[in-house]
Amino acid sequence: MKKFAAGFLIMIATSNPSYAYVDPGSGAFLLQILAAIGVGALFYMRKAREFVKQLFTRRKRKDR
Amino acid sequence: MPSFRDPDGRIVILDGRVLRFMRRGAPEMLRGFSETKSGRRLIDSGKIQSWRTVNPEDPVVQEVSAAAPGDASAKGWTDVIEHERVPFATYAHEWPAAMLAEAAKLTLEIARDLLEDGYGLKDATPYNVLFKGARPVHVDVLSVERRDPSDPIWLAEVQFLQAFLLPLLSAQTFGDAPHRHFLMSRGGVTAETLYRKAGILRRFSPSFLGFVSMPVLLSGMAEKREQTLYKPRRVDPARAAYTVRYRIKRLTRAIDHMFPAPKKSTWSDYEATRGYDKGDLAIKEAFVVSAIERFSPTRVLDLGCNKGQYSIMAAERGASVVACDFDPFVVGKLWQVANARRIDILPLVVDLAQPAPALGWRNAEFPSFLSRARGNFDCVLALAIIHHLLVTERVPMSEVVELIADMTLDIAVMEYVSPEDPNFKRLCRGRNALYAHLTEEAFVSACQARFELVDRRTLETGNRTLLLFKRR
Repeated sequence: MKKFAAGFLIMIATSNPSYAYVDPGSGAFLLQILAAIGVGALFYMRKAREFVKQLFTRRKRKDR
Repeated sequence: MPSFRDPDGRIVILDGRVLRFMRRGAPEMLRGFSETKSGRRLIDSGKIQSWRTVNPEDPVVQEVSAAAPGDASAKGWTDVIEHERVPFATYAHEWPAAMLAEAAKLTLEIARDLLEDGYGLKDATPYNVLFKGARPVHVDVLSVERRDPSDPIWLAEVQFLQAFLLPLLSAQTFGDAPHRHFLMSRGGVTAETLYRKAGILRRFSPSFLGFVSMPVLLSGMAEKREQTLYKPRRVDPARAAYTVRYRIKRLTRAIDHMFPAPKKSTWSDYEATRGYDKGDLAIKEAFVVSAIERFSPTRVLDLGCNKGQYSIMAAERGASVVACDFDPFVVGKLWQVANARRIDILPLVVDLAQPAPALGWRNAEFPSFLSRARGNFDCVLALAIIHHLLVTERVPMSEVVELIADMTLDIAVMEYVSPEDPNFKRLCRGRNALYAHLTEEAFVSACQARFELVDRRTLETGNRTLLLFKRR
């Protein structure tokens, strides 16, 4: 893990991209896709949290 | 030249009318969008330019259709709508950072609001936004499209980054003026450009990591997957809406954060520190106000506006003002004042000695500043700027007079600064002999080739004279 992190840091610090025939937005688009996956996971986590919350709220109401 | 980038429609400007010719299907989409809650709200609040349907028998439509060769222009396009014309079209290559940020926020607000009714923006470029006074308005209604509700990707996000966010990030980080990027490229700035400019430590800063460094590092990987990169993705619609809304919120936060902090510039305290004592300032203000009240101009061009105090005076007396200065900082400040106080002033970054040229495809997409300004105003204010053109830019007096006469249809208020003035001497840098011929009478005489002198008032220091001219 430490080796991976070190490699990543060195890559960011020293990378010198050449992009003669490269779509300059492709990296940002890939990042957008990855972020969409991450936000999707967040969405389901929130849904799960809401579900659990609702479960307890219902139980409380029933208790009354 | 009619607009041509959008296959769904094109804009033709004829006899001062802005007509949008649309392909079959586009009017139905527009109608549907304008009947949604968010669409109605955005149109009624003036954030999206409104329109009216034009009868196909309208002579202007007939004229355009007849003039169009083959399918190269409007011929065969089934439906036409007309937009109210924005008084003065301006582009990102004339905006200070504050205006670009405002246009960015408007674009994001529209993209976010449309989501709730199943619509979205198919592109995100500053060229879809014009300013009415200090207020931005999204003028490209055909940017609105029906969204696939299960698509979690806003395709225009990358374009938004390059056209709005990265130029603003560059301005905030390196202190450069975003309008310069657009003079060179209509797309704005790429992540690669900023990456190369940034030092090693900067590449790790939070905003650079997310918007610059990571995209650059991922570009190699993305290129290897080019076959699948842009394939449509489908997820649960609720998740898709949440994802797009989340991304837009993040971009909005980033823009809010990057909005350039005010910095002191060489010109920002000009009126307060240079050239005038309090009495002279009062005389100057009274002269300008009296000229404006006497001729009641409706459209004023303030050249070298600095803080814009004379622009504000004109706007407060009912004029619609375009205020220009070459310093993006003062222009940005003036925009903030005009926007906050709802004053009808459109501040622009314009170097009068090198105004924005015609740009875009075949130099015909975005007309030059001068061609847009020519004959568009009934008053020009040229206060404390002419000596800069004469001395710093070495422009002949007759040329300066011609330029001003080209811009105004009626009056011009000018300030003559004599070579004896300390500021004039400072600009001369010892070349005073070059201006030995320059006298107030020589200047007035040069102006009289195009103007009639109506009024004149010499300031108490004796080195500056205010002149009110009327076009011949």
